[in-house]
Amino acid sequence: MSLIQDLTELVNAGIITGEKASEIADYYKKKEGASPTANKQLFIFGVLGALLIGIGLMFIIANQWDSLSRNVKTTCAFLLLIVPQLLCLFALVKKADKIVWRESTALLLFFAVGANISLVSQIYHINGDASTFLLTWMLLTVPLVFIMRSSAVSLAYFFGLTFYSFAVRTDATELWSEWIYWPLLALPLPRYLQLFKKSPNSPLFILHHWVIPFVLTLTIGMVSHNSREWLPPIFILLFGIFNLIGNQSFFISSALIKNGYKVFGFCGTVITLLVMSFKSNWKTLLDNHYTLSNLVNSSEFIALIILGILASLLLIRAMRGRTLADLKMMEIAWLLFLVIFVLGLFSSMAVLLVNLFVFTAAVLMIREGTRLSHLGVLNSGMVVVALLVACRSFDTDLTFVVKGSLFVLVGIGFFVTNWLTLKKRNQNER
Amino acid sequence: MNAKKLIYPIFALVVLAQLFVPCLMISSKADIALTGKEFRFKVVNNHAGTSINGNYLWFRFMDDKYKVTDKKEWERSQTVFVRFNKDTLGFAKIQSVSKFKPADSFDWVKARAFLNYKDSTSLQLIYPFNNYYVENANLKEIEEMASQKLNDSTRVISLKVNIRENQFMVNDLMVDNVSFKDFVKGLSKK
Repeated sequence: MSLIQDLTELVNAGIITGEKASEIADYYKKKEGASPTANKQLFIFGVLGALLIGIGLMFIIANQWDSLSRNVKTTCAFLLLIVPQLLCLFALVKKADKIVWRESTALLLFFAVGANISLVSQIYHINGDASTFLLTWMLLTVPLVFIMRSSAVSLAYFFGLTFYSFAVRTDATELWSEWIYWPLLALPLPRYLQLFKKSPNSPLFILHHWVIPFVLTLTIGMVSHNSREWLPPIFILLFGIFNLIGNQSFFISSALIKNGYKVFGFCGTVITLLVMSFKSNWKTLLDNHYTLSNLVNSSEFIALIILGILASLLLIRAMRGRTLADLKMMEIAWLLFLVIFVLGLFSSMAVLLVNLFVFTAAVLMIREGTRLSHLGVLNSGMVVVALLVACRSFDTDLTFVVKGSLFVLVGIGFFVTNWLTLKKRNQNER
Repeated sequence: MNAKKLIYPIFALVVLAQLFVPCLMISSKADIALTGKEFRFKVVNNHAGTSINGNYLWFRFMDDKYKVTDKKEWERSQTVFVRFNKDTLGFAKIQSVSKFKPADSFDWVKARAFLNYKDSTSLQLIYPFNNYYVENANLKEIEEMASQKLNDSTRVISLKVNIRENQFMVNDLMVDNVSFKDFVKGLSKK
C-alpha cells in the first residue's frame, strides 16, 4: 500500500511518468508472488491444512460411526487409506517439484495409515499391544520420508517412535523389541543429512534440529535396565555430543533459535550436573561394588562406550585448528564429569568436585559474557550460580540467615554484572 | 533404470504393504474364529465397572491371580505369557504363567502382571480381552440392563473367547447360558 502511495506521490511531483510507475508496481507485485516468504507461508499452511483436514474427517466419520454396518465401516476405513495414497501418487507424478503437495499428501497418508489400522482393530475388535501398533505404523510410513522427500513425515515418525519407546517399556517380552528402537531411529537420518546441503533454511529442517535432541533426551533412558545409577554419565555424554554438534561450523553461524542441539546440550549438561551436585545421588554408586565382568555385560556400559566414542570423535573434529584453551567449557564438560564419576565409585569427594565444577563453569560463563558484553551468556552464568545456591539450600545445614544472604548476594550479582556490562557496552558504542 | 523411475515401483510396494497389513488383521481374525480354542472366562459379577465406556463393557475375571513361589523372580510390573486349560465345569483356568513363550501349546495370551505388595505370593493378571463391545446405538438402556444382569450375584457371567497363540477373539458375553446379544435384541423389540 505504501509503495503505491509513494509512486502516486512521485508521479504527481513529475519525477517519474505514469507508465514507469505502473512498471515499478508490476515488478514488485511479481516479486512478492515469488518471494520465499510467500512460499514458506504456503508450505506451512499446506502442511497445517493437511493435518486439520485429516483430524476433521475423523471427527465427521466418528459422529455417525455406530449406526454404520460392519461392511460400510470397513469400506470407510479402506477409503480413508486409499484416497491419501492416490493423492500421494498424484503429487509424485504431477506435482513432484511442488514441496507443499509432497509434504501435505505424505503427512495425510502418514496419519491415514495409523487411522486405518486403528479403525480395522476397532471394527473387528482386534486388541493388541500399543507397541506393536506403533511399530507397524512407523514401518509402513517411514519409506514416505524418501519416496515423497517429506520432512513433515520424518518429524511425525520421530514422535511416533518416541511413543513406541514408551509403549515398549511396558509391553516388551523380548529384548529385541527395545533394541530395535535405535536402528529404527536412524532410518530417516540419510534424508536429514541430505537436507544440510539441499535446503538448510527450510522450516521443517530447522525443526529437526530441535526434535532430534528432544527425542533422544526423552528416550536415552531406555538403555538402562538394572543400574539406574549409571544414567548420569550416559546423559552427560549425550548432552556433550549435542554441545559438540551445536558448535559445528554449520550451526555456530546460525541464530540460537535454529540450534536446538546447543540449547539442549547446555541445559541438559547444567541440569545433570546440578542433579549430581546432591550427595544422595552418589550414595548408590558408593554403596555398590561393581565387578568388571558385570559391568561389561550391562546395557548401560555398552551405551556409555558407544556414546563415549561418538563424543571423542566429535571432540577431535572440534579441536582441529584449535588449542585446548580455545575449547568452550560445555564442549569438554562431559570429559571432566566422567573423571569425577569414576572417582565417585571410590570416594565421596566427587560431590564436592561436581559442585566446584558447576561453580567454575558458571564463573567462566560470567567472565565470557562480560568480555564479549553478551548479556545472554552473562545471565546464563548467573542463572547457573543461582540454581547451584538454590540446590545447596536444600541439602546443607546452613541457617536461614546464611541461605537468605546467599540468595541476596546472587541477586545483587545479577544487578551489578548486568549494569556493568550495559555500561561497558554504552561506552563502546560512544 | 534411473532413481526417479525406481520411485514408482517402490511407492507401489509401500502402498501394497499399507493395504496388506489391515487385510492380514481381518483374515487372521477370521482364522482365529475357525482354528482358535474356545474358553469361557468367569466374570466377577459384582464388579462396580459395569458401565459402558466407549461402547465397551469392562470386566474383571474370577481367575486372574497366579500363586508364585519366589517373588524375587518377578518384576513389580511386567508382560507375561498365560497358558489356559479348562476346569471340570468347562470354565477357563490358568495352567501356567511364564516369562517365556510356551513352546508346546497354542492356548496362551500375553497379559500384564503386577506383583501385589499386600499379597506378595501372587501375581495379579490383566488379560487383553477384558472388554466386550456392545454393537448398538441405544447404549443408555443397555447400560441399565447390563447393570442389572451383570451385578446379580445369583447369575454366572462368563465371556467366551477363542484363543490361539496370543491371537484372540471375544465371541460372546453369557449371562448363565443366555447370550447378552439376546437381551439386547429383547430391548430393541420393546
